[in-house]
Amino acid sequence: MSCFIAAWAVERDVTRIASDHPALWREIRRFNLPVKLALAAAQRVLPALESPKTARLVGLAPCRPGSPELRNISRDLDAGFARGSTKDLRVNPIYTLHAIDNLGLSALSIRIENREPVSCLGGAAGQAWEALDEAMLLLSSGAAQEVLVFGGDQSDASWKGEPADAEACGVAVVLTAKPQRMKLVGIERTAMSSSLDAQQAALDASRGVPAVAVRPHAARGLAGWLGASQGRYVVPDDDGDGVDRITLITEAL
Amino acid sequence: MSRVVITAWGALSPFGVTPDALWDGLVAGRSAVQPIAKHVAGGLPVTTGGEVPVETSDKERDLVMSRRPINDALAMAGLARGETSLFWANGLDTFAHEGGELVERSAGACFSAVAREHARPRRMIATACASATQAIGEAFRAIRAGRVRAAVAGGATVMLTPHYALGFAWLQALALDLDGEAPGAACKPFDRMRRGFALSEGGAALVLEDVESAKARGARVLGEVVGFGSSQDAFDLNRPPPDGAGAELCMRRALDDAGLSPERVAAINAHGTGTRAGDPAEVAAIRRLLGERWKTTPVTSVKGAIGHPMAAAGALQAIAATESCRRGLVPPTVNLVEPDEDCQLDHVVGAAREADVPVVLSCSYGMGGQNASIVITRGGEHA
Repeated sequence: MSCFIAAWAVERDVTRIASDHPALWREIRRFNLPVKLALAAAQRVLPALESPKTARLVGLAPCRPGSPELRNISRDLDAGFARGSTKDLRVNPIYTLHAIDNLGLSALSIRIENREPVSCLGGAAGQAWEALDEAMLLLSSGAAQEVLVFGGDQSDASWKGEPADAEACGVAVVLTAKPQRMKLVGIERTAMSSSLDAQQAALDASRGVPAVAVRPHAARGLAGWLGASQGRYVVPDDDGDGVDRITLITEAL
Repeated sequence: MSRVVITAWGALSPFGVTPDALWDGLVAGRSAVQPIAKHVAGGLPVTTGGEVPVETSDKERDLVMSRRPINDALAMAGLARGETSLFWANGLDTFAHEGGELVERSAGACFSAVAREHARPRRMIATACASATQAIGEAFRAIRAGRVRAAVAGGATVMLTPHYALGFAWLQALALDLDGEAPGAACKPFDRMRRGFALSEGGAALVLEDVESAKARGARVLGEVVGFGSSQDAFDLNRPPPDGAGAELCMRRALDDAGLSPERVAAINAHGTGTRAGDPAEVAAIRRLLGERWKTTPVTSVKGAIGHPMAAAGALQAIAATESCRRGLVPPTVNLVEPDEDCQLDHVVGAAREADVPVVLSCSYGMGGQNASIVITRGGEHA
């Protein structure tokens, strides 16, 4: 099971979208940062698709969804809730969409009029590599000729409305059955049994703690792999699934 | 290609903490939607919902809603976590309260905690309200292709929170409180007076297995998944196209996948959430799919009875659909009194209907336009 990498893009600067793609910006300016970045990255690789309408889309939900606006609303609501009065709270419904996991996928499917069968994977650790598995499977089985895997993410900094977020990024990669210069040969997984308990302890400890930083590992993980240009890329533990040691094998043709 | 059978399940629903409680409640034609005390106290404009009768701390509720149905299903199947892959939907991030502080519950972290002991693949599905049906469909596909021998599939949600109650109210998706109306009557799928859904919580897990493996270990076959289809509306972020084209495409793909013609559909467990835009679009899709048989093919929705448990909905529906096949009984759509002019189908109204239903379509349509349908049979007759 293998496939080819036809194009990829990483987008980290949301301000570039407005200048580079004003039409896209008008469509997405009210979305939250991860979705803006995901769609901007997807925009850059669309020319590599032979048929955007019939390509298979595999979306990656943000590991850290939401937005500063939604976070503020949650706090206002919480305060009102404690007072027993929330009826006066009025909010633009678009902010509710900032919580929706498949917003980026929905927006892209509308933009390129794609009605094909679909996958969207959630914001759990390691789902980016599941998305690549899915793409390879679709291509090797003949179910698809080209697959666009894409997603965007942010760290707690953006979620809280802080100006700098070094980890926020959008990533998109076009994988095809048709030979290209770079081949994705496979994804190896071996159990990391020695670190399993520690990983789980960290996961359990992080659950529900207000100050914990949710790691934007999906888009960041893909961006790290694509930028590394290594024949054997060992996924850093922070971008893995906490269970397996994941290695991606590529081959330049 | 392998045949894929359902051999066990677990369910938490507003009717109770077992699949039997769900089925009995649905067949009885009653509503488990009721006032949510904390939403009443908080002065929300929508105070009804479907709450699962299980005591947990607010902080741990998401884990319980996933782990308990999974554990129940695995215990029923006699399988260990490590013998099954996981295709699971955890819904959206939510907030809880801990020591008076607003605490985020990350859906992704919940999935990771639940998934770690399962075999690969461990896949978190995120297609909004279509997620659990999509999860079952993807598990079915993996087993049928021989990549996986057994899997747990389904989903859970804890989105019955003030934040989502208000958020979806702002999106005009929820049935706001109406003076003088019984809380259980809030969600009225396909009815002339429908005005949205009631938010609810829950979780449901199905164990899917390769039929030969199931037979070899003497597992009981509850039903069989024979087809899966998905599609995208590519229309709007918050409403389906009025003609239901995406829903129709998805149902047709599921039937094509099963190698069945629409004539073989004996009943439909519909998405049917009771929204003004969604219900007629779904009806239009069903009518085109079935042709003249729309007049005689029973259609039901669970949402009037249990509300809309989002990421768990498709799995609870799949259990109901499988039970319909097994028992020859289609539950009624609760609160459907007078089908709207543009919602005319052969609705099951008032009481459960006895019917021979060897093939059932179970359908879920997500906000944003991702659609998923699975085809379920009794098992055995569809070699």
